[in-house]
Amino acid sequence: MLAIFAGMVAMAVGYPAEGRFLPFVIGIPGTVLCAIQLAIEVDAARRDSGRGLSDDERRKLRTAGILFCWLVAFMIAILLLGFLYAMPVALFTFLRLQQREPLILSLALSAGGLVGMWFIFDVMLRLPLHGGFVIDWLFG
Amino acid sequence: MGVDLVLSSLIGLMTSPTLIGLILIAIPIGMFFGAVPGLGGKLGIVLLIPFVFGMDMTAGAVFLLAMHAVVHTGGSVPSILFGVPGTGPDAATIMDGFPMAQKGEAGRALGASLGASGLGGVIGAAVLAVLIPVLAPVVLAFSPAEFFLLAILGITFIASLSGNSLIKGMIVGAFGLMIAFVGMDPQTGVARFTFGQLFLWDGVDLITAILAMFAVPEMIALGVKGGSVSAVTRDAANYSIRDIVAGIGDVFRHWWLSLRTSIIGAVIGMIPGLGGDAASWICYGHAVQSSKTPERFGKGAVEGVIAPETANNSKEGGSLLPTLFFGVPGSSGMAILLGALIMLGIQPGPRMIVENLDLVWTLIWALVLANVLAVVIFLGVARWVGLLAFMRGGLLIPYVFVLVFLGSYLSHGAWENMLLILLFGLLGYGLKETGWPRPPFVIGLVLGPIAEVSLHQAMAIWGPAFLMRPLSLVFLALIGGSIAFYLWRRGRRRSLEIGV
Repeated sequence: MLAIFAGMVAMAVGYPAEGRFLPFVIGIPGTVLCAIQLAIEVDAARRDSGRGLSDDERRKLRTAGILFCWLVAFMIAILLLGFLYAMPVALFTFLRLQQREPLILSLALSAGGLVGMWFIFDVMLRLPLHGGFVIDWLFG
Repeated sequence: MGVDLVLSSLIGLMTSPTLIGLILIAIPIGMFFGAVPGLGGKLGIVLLIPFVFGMDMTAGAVFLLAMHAVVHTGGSVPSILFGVPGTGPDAATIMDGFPMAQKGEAGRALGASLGASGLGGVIGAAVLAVLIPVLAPVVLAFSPAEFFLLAILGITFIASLSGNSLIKGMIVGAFGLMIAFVGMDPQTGVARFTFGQLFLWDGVDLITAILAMFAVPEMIALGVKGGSVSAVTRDAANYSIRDIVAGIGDVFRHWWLSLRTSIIGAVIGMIPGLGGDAASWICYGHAVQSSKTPERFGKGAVEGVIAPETANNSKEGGSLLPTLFFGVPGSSGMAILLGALIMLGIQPGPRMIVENLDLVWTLIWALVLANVLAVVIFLGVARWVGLLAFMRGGLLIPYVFVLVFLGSYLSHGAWENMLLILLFGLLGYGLKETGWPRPPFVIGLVLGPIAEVSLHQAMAIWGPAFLMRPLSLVFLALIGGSIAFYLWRRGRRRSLEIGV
């Protein structure tokens, strides 16, 4: 947070006076508050220095990391294949590999998701969904 | 404001199959998000955002509000049956609801909670309706100077009351404001903090930021937690409709308590940042204090269910007041609702009272209708509602991930927003895990542009002397008071902890 605030304040220096006024008014006190909070946390960490991560905390961190990787994978799939094609693929892969759900349940939930998305967003609401870079390139 | 407007809004709502249909769809969804522990109303609004794209602003707002209004009606189910609160504010219901279930009175406790939720929701809406004519002249007297200070007040309110640390709240609120400055500066036309990216010229998309900061961290946390939510026997979910009806009767037998706690809840809802936890616990405490037999509480007293449940639903009506008329959300859930309303083309603020009063009345009636219909719908599905607490959260994760990207893409039509989902999602999870409050970020992001434009206007009209206007001084006093109140409350909590 300290780095973000300091970086944004530094960037604002180059803007015209009216444009940098509020970024300064908010950003400079924000930087000071971040520095105070950092000092509080460094002090707390120093007092707690002997304690490392427990096995449970390590497991939680690993699972969170894996789930974040899935989020990235979902995004890549959607960008490349578009929502309608990526959704069943992503759902099925996640349910089978991450959640270890039975094959039939995974297939049913993925198909249900696809039908739901197609019906609600494409048929009912007629919203323009991202088509996917690969799909657009292949089919124009 | 005429009676004809009030009645025409009601007739318009009741005779619109679309609006009634949307309310009927929203109620089970809201109860679902309440009844599955760990989900909650905030996530409910966030996830419904993709579905309201393309909707008319009234329809979208009615749908989201109706869903959010009944979250706590469903939230009491796992609290009573399994001692697991569906949402934070439902925790007070455990005190007497769970002992009632253990004594074999689960149906009666659920009925009391259901009746109290319905009545509380209706009274909360009534309190809001009564206050509109009183507030109208006040909000219409606002100038850009007051708008600016109101925006700052909103941030200090939420920042000081949404977490254990004022500094953390203020930092996150300030961060939201800084992110609000991304894009073309309205005064000079200079692109600020855009890194040469065209999609950032219009600023960071509000919906993308909300989806990333709330939905992504909640889903990752749900995945980390794993398993089904309730680890208790399903026998607790055995009850009959007759028991539930008896419980609803209890609410009217204790009508004076129900009325008092509903009004207290609505008033607490009006104070931005106090939140649902405060409403339900204060009303529970009031029920204990005002009872002639306080020793029954904690052992299965039905009044201990009625008091927090009336407050939980009535505060929603109260918190709509600052949200709609001042643009300052009354709770973190309302902060997200505020973002969604802006996305629908509704600009909350004093102008609502002049330009959109018909919409305000439609929302009030929707609140009333949703609370009443929730009771009827709950009675119809009462046998199965308890089973929701056994649903495995992990199954929701991939659907939510897709909905998050969908909402982000649809809100702006820019695929680059999906990259922001990753960035803010990671940040949001970090904040959640380290105990930093996230609602101030949304408040900063929503109020930032209002604050900046109002400040420039106020400076152009009065110069720095705008701070000395009478209403500005009132707002400055409120800002100081809000910080002082936080410090007092924190000091009091510490002294109580030391005392214990």
